Amino acid sequence: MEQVLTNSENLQENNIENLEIKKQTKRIKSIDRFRGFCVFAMLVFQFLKNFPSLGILSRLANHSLTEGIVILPGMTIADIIAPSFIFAIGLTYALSFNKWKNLYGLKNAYIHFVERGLSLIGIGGFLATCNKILDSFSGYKFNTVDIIFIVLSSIALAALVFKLVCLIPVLNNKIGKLSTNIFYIALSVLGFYNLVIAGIDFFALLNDINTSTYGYWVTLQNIGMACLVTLPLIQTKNWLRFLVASIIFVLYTVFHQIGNHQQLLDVVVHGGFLGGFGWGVMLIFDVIVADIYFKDKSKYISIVALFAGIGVWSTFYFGNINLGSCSPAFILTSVGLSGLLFYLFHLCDKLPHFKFDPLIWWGKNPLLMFLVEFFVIGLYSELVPDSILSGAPLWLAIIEGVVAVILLTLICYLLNKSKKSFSL
Amino acid sequence: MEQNTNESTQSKRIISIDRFRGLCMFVMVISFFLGVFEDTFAKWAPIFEHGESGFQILPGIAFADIFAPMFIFVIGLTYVKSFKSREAKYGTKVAYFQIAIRYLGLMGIGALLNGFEDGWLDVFQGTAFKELDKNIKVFAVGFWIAIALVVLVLISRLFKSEKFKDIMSKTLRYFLAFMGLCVLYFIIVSTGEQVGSRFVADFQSNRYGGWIWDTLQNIGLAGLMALPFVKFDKWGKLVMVAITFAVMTIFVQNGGYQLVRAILEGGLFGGFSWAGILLLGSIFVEIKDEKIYWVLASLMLLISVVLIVAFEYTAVKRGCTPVYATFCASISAIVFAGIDALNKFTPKFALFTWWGGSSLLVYVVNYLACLIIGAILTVKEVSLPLWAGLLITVVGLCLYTVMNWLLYRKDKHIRL
Repeated sequence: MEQVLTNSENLQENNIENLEIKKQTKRIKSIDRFRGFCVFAMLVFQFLKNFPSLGILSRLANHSLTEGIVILPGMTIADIIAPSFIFAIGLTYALSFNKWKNLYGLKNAYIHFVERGLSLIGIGGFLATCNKILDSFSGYKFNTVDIIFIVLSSIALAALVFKLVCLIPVLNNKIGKLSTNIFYIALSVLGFYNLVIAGIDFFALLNDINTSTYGYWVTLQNIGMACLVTLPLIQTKNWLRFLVASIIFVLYTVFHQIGNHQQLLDVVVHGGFLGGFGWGVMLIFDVIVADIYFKDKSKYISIVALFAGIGVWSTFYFGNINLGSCSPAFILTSVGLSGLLFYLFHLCDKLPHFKFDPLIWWGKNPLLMFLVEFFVIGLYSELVPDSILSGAPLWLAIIEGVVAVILLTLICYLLNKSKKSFSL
Repeated sequence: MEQNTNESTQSKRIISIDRFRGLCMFVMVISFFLGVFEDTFAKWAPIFEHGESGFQILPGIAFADIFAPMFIFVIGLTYVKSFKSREAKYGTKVAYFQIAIRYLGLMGIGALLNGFEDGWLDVFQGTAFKELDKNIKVFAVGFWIAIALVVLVLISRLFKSEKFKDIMSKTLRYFLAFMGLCVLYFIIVSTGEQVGSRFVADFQSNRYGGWIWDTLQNIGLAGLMALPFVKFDKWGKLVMVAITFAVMTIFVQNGGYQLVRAILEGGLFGGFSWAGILLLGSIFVEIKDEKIYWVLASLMLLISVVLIVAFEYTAVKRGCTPVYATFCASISAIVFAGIDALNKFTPKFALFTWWGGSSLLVYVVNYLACLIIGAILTVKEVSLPLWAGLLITVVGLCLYTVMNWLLYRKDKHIRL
């Protein structure tokens, strides 16, 4: 994992660029808060889901239509968080790409962003591998695919450990750089391999919907896939982005609506490999909307409201919104609702600012917090007895929840205070 | 009725409004023809049928249901401008009076057409005049008085005396307004009877006969109900519409719908929503070139669609429920913006511009023509083959196009 220190001096080549960066930095506060909110909602509400005694709080992260909080036909309040996170990526995707392009050139920027997309998928694959290893303690037997995942994950993990060890100043910096490269290559290969396996899963399901899948597809794979689908359009004009996104959307909709394809897409998390194109379309729309946001706020609010309106309207023709298959109505509605939600954060920019701004802290290190949640909160949820989780009385659930929030926020605060952010 | 031949009028008219009005009229006329030949065009019925039997674009809203509100929205686009120009010429009181007379007159024309349809057509088919309902009798008699007055107005054009022309024109206008007052009285009575029948089990009052209510009465009532707010600024109007829609929504969603739907287009109750659409039209034209236009249109679309789809609020043209009105107004605003964007495109064959010039004349002529064709088909008990139905429809459209083109060319606009 690369440690990126905030270093705006590198970008300040002239006064115009300086002003532009200042403007962007100001805007990123609301984006950070929004991203922070998404990460907070994903992590904390996910943890609170374990405590039925908390009532409505425990239902916030539930995607089930019977147990979650339904806000639109087929959509619970929890369903809006993942698209909102994608929206947050969309808000900074083009800015981030341009920053890399200015620093290292166009070709290197493309290479870096392909690597980043694959690495995100790779981290998802790594987490899925960890789950398989945990399952093996309950009797699950590894197949060849699992073993390849374990080998690639081990290489990436070993490289990461080397990299961290090399942070100690007295050690050889060259080994550190080498381990960084190995880490990235291993993650990218893992990501690529994950894509291949997800593709095989998809075609196997297309052949027989009842077939068992390898199951290496969770949220991070979708995010990585969406980034890869969007990448070729990141330097193009909005009209071309919209045209290409619309074509993919129409093709995806046609496929989704035919026969049992919705059920087929529903088998793997968030639509699996093909669903990734749906998430990709969502991110392209988000990038377009983000571009408009930076130029004209009125136009922005009109467009996101139109997206949401047309999305909800489309449920009348395409059926309910469905996160599981990344349904067409879900794509459109999510772009709109995420945009509207973000606008609330934009409005908060006009309120007086305080030093105590926890959402900004949360928004600075989403990937790291995701990993912390998986390994700390996830393990905690797996290992402690039911009497402390699902069977916990209200007072205990409140204590556990508050402690989790304080601890996670403290981690975010310390990272923010040291002005260190971790990203791929 | 007056013919506007002011030379500067054409240049002052906003072309997109004429086009939008023309589009609405064009669709309305086609749907009239398709309705008259409903046996012939049975396969296409979902396109022109209203309510649940039509092609649904949202639960409860058929494709054909969006054009009437669009037309009222278009009226709203010129509503304030029309008031202000009268105010500038004659003063505020006279402007209020003239606009009230105008919309009462529209209601009157609608009632008189019903007098012909439900009165004389029944009489021609064997019903005795004395068997007609009391209110129908009033408008059936009134129909011929109005025809006589129209003839006199036309004759007065042959004389040089401006006073004679003015007297005849005013007589016709005030007579139509009087008929409008009559139909307003009848609808209030009818609404009272509807309300009473819900409170008292054996209440069966039918003092003047059933309700007489149709499109023109509806437009007239909307214009009248919007009048008190004509001098409000855009935010004042928007707040009034929002409050009205909120109150009506609570009313409709809590059992009031059964009362609202009892009369076509909601009768007196529906008038609130129709007036809301008209006022929204007047707001949208005011903010036409502002960024807030799209914000308002898209938020209205979002709110109405969410209420209809997610919360299953009642959205029905019959009764003009507020969510239906909000949805239709937002669609109208989006369509208007689209048409307005084409203002620089001015082909010589300006079909919709011509059609938008004299909509009232086209409506009345087409209404009567379709009534007569329908009556002949009913009496003869014939169902036309498809080609004949299509031929009559196309010929009718061509004739109206020529009529509208001639009026447009001579810069004449028939209006009240």
